[in-house]
Amino acid sequence: MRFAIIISLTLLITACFEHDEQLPKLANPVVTLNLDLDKNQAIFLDLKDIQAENEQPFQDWHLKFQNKANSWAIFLNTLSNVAIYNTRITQYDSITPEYNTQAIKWQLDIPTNNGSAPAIGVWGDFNFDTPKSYKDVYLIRWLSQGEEIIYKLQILDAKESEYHIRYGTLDDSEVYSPWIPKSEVRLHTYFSLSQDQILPDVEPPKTQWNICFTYLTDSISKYPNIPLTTTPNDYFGLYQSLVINQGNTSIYLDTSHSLDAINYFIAKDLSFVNIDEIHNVFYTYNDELSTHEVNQNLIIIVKEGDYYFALKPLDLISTRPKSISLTLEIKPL
Amino acid sequence: MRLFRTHILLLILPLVLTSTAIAQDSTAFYVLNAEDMAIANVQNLEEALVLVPGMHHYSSDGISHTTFGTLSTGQIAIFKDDLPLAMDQNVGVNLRVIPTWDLNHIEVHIASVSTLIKNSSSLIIRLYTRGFQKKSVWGSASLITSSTNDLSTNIRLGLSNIQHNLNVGVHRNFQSSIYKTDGLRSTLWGGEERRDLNLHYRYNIIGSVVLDVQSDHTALLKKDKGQIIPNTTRVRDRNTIFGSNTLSSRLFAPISKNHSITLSGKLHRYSANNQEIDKDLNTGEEAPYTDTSLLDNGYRYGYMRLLLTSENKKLNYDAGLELSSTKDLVFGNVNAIATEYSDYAAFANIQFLQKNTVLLKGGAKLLVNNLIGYHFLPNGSIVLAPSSVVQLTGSYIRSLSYPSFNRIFYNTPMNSGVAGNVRLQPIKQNTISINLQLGNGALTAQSGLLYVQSNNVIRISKQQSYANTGASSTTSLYSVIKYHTKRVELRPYFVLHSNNYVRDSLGITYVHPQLGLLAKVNLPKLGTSAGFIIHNNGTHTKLSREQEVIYQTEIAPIRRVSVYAAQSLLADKLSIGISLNNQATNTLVPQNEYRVGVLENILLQSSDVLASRNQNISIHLSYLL
Repeated sequence: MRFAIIISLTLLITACFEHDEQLPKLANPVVTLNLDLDKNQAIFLDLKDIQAENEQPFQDWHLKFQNKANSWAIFLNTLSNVAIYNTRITQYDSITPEYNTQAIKWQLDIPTNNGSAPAIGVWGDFNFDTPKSYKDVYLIRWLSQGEEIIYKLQILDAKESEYHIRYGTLDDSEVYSPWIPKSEVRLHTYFSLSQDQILPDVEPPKTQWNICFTYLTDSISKYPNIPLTTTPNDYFGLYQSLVINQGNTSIYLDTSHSLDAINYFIAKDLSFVNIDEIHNVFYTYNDELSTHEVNQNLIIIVKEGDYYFALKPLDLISTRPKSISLTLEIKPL
Repeated sequence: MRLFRTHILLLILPLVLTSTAIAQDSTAFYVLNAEDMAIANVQNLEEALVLVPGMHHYSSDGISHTTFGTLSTGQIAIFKDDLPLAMDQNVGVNLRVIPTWDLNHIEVHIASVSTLIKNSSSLIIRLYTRGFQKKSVWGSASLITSSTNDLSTNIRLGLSNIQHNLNVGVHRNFQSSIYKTDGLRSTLWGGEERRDLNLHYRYNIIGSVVLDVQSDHTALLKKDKGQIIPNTTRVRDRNTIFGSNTLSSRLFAPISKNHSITLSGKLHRYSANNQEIDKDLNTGEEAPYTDTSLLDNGYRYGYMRLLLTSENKKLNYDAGLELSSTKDLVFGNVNAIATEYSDYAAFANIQFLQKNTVLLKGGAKLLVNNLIGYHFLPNGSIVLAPSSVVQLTGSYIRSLSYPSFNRIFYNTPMNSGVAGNVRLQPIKQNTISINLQLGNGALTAQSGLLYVQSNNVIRISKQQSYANTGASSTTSLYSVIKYHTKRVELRPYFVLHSNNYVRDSLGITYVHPQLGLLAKVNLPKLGTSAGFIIHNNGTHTKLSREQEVIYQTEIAPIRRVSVYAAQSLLADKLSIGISLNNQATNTLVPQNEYRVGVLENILLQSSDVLASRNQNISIHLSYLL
């Protein structure tokens, strides 16, 4: 019986589940983002794999084609002063150098509450399996080494996974008619009219970035006190902005917690929103001192699936309006 | 209401029982007794099935895969003391919840014609518990501890005054975690703690009239540890609690010199509750993760059988009725459809012996299910020279295997994007067997050919729903030899499966060989016994079809070796043993997954699967009061 008692005690007290080990607190990485209108127009960040080096080579693209299935938006590169005008003419050959370009009101992509709306607009009837183009001929202009270039552009019919455009000089000395395939890997395909080719590396694969620091157009009247970079459109200026990868990322702007206090257990219960872009998010502008100041009370919480990150701006140096240097502390939650 | 009445009947008509059949059936294809299971330190039914010739087992992504040819465990009938063990085996009962510490032996039957069959009958596993002892009070305690921190302890107590008999047993088993990589936190197989309470009561009412009531209760807690999320101190663990509660009873009464009647019933509740927990290993904070896609499961099963048996010199027959019902306790209805079904069956079998030269068996079962309608299931066999040294048996059986419960009732979100189909038919299994038995003394051998054709196999259709569009087949050539004397027992076996998993679309057959040996030595004068088990599996190739795509999975060869030695002391009251388990064994073996192409297969993924627990040394102690 004594043996049975010993076994009973053994039964109760031994061979149990291991306790969880305690891990030391991890240091938060700090990253400095140097944004420049001429050299480093956009910085894409993959928060799960933050690279110390975030300089990206300048890519002179003009059109950005949406790759999402059944979506056919075409955006402009406003950072290179690309603007567009719809002539409402459908005969490509009828646009010649004699066309009066002086009175044109150039259009830029329009900022809305749901992100940018393309200035090209609805270029066809999308109620078919493949869009049927209205065949409108657009004039498109950009600056190249300070010189204004104007091309004409016509969007032809598209296939299920390809755009088909025609473009060239107004005198038809150069005419190009490329097919631009949709990529399954990236959100957008970037095309250079001057080089007549797709620039594959402007944007990382869609699974490899969460947020992008760049400049976007917005209404000048909306931010009367913030320095801006002018555009060909009198109503719009370029402002430092945050683009969010809607395919995998949602965000929450928190002003009630400190970075130390925020953890996963708080973050997972927040109401994250899916939004394309936020303008002038990390700083306020001090009119009296004429300087940008980081918003100390703001923390952006970024969610990708089960991954959460808290971003707090630490420092900001601006050589307005051309460049901005932002230092961020990133806390993986 | 009908279900309610059925369950009330099951409760108020209890039952008795014949004495638990301890004697081993000589026609069984293979028998594992308690000593055999001790050699490999078997703690649950899943581990016991690994030792059965023809079975292939591995675990991947926390899910166990145990098969016999193309037959999954859902297509293999399992009985405990002659009653269905795991419902209709279509609710995913975790076989690790079924303990083996209370078993006397396990029999494996191939293509056996029997009244005990509810559905599947190509392969039948029968578990038999230990019987009652003719002592007023007895008790025993045992302990098994291993170098991998596993521990199994049980205490059994028996009371008997001949008329009333009671066996009570409690058991706790802990099996430690198996980690993916030494030093890393994430587990390949989480640690498990199982607690069992078994009660068995027998009332010898009068003469041969016996009432048995048995109640088994098991709770299994499994803790899977997740990996540390990169750059954080956070993890997500998963706890799963399995529960199984059964109440069964059986009433056996002779009604004439040659006739007897048996009324059996069983109630079974099974549950599997998943809980995912987020933890911060720096602060110790934790909270449940509520967005999990894992569903809790819970089912109730009721079964009742009335059996009339007649035994004569030449002509034997039996006939009876079966009632059963299965109900989902977690999701009472899905899309306004009640998640439950019932079936009723009448069966009759007859066997005729002609001058000890030919034994003819035949019978049929008519099964009515409220979802799938009628099914007529005939069976027949002929045994040539049934009592001689050389015996040849040919048999044919048609049987059913119910589709997974969730595939019938659950909707798209609950089924990972695939819609359930309440009109799913059961898998129809046509079994043809030829068996040759040799010898009847120290040396016996069984060899034969088993062909199982499965139709109505469940596939995922283009419309992302389940449909009965598949077919598969297995041809198994087997040979089992048993040589035993008072001191020595040798049992080599050989099984060669030819598996065609996608008979409906491809004529490709893959061969899967197995070779094994069980050897035991017993020295009664010294009180010493020893033994070993070697189990070799060749490369196992499986095919599966989803929509129009065929996938091929190859699992590398698996070998398992266990050695055991024991010494009895104190007039056989105390036994001390040691076993070396999973020696010469790879815990992980490679698995390659391909997409089958017209010209060549495209490798999709290479990974490792868990073939067995880690190598360990176990100490076995048992004490008999």
